[in-house]
Amino acid sequence: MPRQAMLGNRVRRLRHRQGLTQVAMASQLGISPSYLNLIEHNQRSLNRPLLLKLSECFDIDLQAFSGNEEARLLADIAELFGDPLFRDIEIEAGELNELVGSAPAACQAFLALYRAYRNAREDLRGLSARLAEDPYLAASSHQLLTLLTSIRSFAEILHDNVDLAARKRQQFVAILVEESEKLTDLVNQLFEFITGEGFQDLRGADSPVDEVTDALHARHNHFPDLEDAADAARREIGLRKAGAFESLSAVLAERHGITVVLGAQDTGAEPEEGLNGERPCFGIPEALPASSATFRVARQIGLSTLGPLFEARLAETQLSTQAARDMYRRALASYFAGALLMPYDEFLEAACTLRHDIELLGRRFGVSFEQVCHRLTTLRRPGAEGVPFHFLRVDIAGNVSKRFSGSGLRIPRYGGTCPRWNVHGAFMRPGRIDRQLARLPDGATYFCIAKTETKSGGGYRAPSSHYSIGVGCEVSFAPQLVYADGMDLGNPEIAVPVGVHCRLCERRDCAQRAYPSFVR
Amino acid sequence: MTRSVLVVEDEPNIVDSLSFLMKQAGYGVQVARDGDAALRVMESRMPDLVLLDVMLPRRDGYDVCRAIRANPAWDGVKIIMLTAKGRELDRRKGLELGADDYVTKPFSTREIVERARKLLEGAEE
Repeated sequence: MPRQAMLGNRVRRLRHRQGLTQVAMASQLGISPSYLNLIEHNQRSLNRPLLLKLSECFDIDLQAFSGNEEARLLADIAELFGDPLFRDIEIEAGELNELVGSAPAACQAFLALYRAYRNAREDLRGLSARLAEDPYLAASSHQLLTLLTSIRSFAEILHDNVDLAARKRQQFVAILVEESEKLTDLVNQLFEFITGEGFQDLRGADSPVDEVTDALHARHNHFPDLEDAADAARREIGLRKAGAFESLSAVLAERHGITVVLGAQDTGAEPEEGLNGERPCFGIPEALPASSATFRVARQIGLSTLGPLFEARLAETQLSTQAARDMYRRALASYFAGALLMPYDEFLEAACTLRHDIELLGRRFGVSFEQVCHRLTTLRRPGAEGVPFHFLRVDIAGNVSKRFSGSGLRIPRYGGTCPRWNVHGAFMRPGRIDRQLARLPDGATYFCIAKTETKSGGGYRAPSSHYSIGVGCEVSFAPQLVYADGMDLGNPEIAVPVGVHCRLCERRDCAQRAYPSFVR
Repeated sequence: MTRSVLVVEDEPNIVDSLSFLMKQAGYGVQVARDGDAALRVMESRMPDLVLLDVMLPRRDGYDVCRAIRANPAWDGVKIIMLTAKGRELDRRKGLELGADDYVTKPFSTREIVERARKLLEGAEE
């Protein structure tokens, strides 16, 4: 079924918004009401002349009628039906088309529900992985087993030996009573552990980074009000790429009384209060690249101006610690900075025309490779969505310090990721773009690129930080990426078999396995 | 001649129950509370069967099993490993190291007697 054949629902919604009957709309379009009815029910496709007529008569966004969104939704739904959960449900491609065409909102709800289920399942796996490694529980289960073994054997001995000598019987009964008491104590302790602090620790041990990542995921890493605030601020400041740092610094100085001091000591997040009533200073280390310096000033403007907005977004979350709340505020400020320097519409358009060439995008907007990757994950505006990307940043020791699974690829929360992911291998070819077609055990295939970045610590003596930045998308989106050019995307032979994390991976024959699998 | 069983187990109550069961089945019983003690007992008087717990302090059951199988003087001694329930790998490891059989804790008393008898009577033929 062509994409245009799934647009019936859009036509019907447009007609309802216009308050028109089928007869009225059909006459405006110069077609018969019955033909319009067929279009609305996806029985006839919306051909190009008719689409043009539609845009002449009504003020419609042609992009919305491109069928792209429907195609993406269809891909999402089709992926969902690939889950073993639906193993026994036979659904044909045509049925999915119909479903997406006639009930897109229900499909979205279905997807949201499925994602919630996937997250819950992932959390459960993570939790059981941690339980399995908990030393207290390991010791307790051994004790439990010992007590049960002894109780069971004496109970059976007493049962099977009615003619046991009275003294012997008494001895065994005494053991039974004693062991049962110990068992009771142990079980009580275990309950206390599960309901009490021990378990709370285990659950609450989510790092602030994880909590914040989850909160961002819950919003699909897209914040319309921050986009609006960034658009408004950009217009007000008259921000341009050239001289962005200077004009943003001027705004900080004039409107917020904060002096940006280049080459000063790094004050990190917050401007320092000046001594003796001097104006607060915002120190930016000399070694910082220009793009990072600009980004920091932009973020500081967000922190200085958008307090109430940030608090409103914070109120929607359930972040458990002050550290997590502070980090979330900073993440929102960084989001704002990204939106300020890379305006949504302009960036989305550039991403399409430059075919997601990250380096070219960075140059066009005067931002770093990592900032572009980050911004790509935020293009989730309904009706104007970009390619759904995942994004992760690992350090040279393999620790994941940033992750966002926008493409549907699960990035594990606990422990390292699959060693076969090219985000790790990229360290062997520093500074070069590495590309990979990666296939997961469930058959889902992703196109991934990775590149290392070195952040100078400031001069020869200061240690540098090394990261590898990975972004990728589901393989069906790959042709929209310049990096996929010349790659035989349909060829399963060239896809690298990967997993998510060894513990969650069923590939028994993997030579790179680091941990035993929990998957049967 | 009375056949003899060496019970290697660190939990006193489980030692008591296994000793009772083996004596009742008509076997002589020796006891060792850890791996080193087990090998010392083996040297002074070789049993026909060893009931060997895996989770022993210091020297574990696998290690004892390996040591028994490495000594040609102890050829013919039967070994039943006592493993924790649900640990499939433990079971396989025990058998690979030369154990003749295994039972999982919490075991059934009838089953352990049955298995011991089978190994000991089988050896008589």
